[in-house]
Amino acid sequence: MTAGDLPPEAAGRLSSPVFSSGLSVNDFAACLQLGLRPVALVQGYCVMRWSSYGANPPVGYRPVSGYNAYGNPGVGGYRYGGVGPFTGAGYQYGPRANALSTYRCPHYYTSGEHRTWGENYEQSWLTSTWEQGYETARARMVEEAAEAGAHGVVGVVDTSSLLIDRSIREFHMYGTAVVVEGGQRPERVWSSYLAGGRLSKLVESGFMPTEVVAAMASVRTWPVCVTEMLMRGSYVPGGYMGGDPVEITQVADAQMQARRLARDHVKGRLGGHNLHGADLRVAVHEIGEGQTEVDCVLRGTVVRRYRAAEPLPPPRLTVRANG
Amino acid sequence: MDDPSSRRNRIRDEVNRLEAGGFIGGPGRTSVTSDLSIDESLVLHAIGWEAVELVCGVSTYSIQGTLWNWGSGEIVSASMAHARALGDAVQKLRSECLGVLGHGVVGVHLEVSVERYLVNAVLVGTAVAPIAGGSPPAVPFVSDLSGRDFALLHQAGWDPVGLAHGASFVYAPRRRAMDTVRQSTQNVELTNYTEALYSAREGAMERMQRRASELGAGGVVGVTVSEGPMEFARHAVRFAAWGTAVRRSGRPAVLPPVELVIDLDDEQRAFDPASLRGSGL
Repeated sequence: MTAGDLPPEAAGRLSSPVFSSGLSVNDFAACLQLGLRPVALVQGYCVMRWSSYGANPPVGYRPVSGYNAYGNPGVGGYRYGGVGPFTGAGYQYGPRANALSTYRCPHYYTSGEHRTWGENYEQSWLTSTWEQGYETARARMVEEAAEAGAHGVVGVVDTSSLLIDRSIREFHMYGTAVVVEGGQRPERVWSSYLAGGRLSKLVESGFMPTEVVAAMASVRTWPVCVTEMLMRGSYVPGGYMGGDPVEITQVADAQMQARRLARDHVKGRLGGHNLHGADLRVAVHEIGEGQTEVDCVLRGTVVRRYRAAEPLPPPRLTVRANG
Repeated sequence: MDDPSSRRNRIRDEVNRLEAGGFIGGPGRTSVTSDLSIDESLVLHAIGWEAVELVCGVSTYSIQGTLWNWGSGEIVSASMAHARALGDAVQKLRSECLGVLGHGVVGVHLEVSVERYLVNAVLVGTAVAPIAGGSPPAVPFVSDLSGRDFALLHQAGWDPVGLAHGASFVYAPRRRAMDTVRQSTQNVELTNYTEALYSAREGAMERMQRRASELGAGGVVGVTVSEGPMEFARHAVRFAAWGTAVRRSGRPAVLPPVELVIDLDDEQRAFDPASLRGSGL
């Protein structure tokens, strides 16, 4: 959608003198106190196709006779067909170009079903699909706010969920468009997850919200033999048994990588400003033994400082007598 | 406190100024990421500290050679895996903190899950540093206390030094066949469970305290415990405890007189829009 192609009903609603808002009464009162007048409940919506391209095996592998599903010579199965650094004649499987880390089998022998190597990689196509869905929903919400003549959108709520057969993901975002009493005509509409009292305190402490921001990172593990065995609790050849617990490095790495990537994606969009109220959510999907998908979403409000910090006086201790 | 009209003027002025591009920071500056609330940031700022970066530490350890349902005494491999997973997660959190020149991590949210074959420990918190700068300590502190609690402790003359944790997994041995038969028509104490839980509790608390003394702490505040039978094994019980180890900072304690306050607010009906988001991503 581009500016000006909102449905005719929307234009009528947004120009109506009667406002709508998603604010609680508390937040409404606090916004009025701050000089923000709600004009309309605005929303943005976007539906994306969402596919992991099958659970097994990773993209880049294709059926090749002579290699089995573990990347080893065998009957049927898959081998690497991408552009990874180890691709070459006679060595057709190996790390992908976007591998985050790789793992080698420490054993001296292999059977046909022994996974001799493993890797963690970012499912970058999910990251970019998520970003596109989120950004589109946000742009549409902001467009409605601009149509209503607002300066900003406060109390933003965004939801994202899988629809129908889990291959479709919807992105929905809404918030309350507000006009700053006496403010100049805005060039760009700001947005914020905060509203009411918390927004008021943010502004009082010298920050203005710029926009809501979120990023997703999805890391998938392709387990090496040791990871697979440790996750299954089975005997690991080569002396892993015998008391001392071992770190399942590959899985722990994937968990760290997903969180760091989400943070880096968000930081890349801050432009030197700060992220306030970071909300980090993680979902781990167990696809097979050791085959894990770690999905991580980091949300927050980008805030920029307009006034040097003025420290509050040291806190005073009080006792509330509220029974 | 300013009166409402000056507040209104302030936000109007700020909006007008922002349109003209007048703000501090921007391209070329280091961005701060933080999951602290605005209250926590303000109270940290009041004692001269500020947020630097959202940091995390995750570790997964395997539990090897445990049958979970048959045995007696402590399930050593599970207790060790728990200790190592938390210890490694704390190490990773510390090294992320040092990477951004933080002096410590506050508001650490701790999630530990124990499954049949593994223990997973996840720590997420905000690295903080004094506004005045200074080089970070070799071992930054890690604390599950909120920014507010950190400030209160700071004023009271105490410093957090690290996360003290301890866990113990103990078998509740099966009763002898004759006892089982005899007790089948009686409601009596099952001493095997009582003893197992006592043993697990003592083991875990002792480890937590030992960890605190290794950290050079004088005590542990805000201890959280989780106890009970394992979901997947009826004959094993766990007891895990963790909290923030603290020591005297040497600064004089500033303990102002406590004031009595009576709120005139009614209980408010508040709606949290984030509740609509559900538990998904």
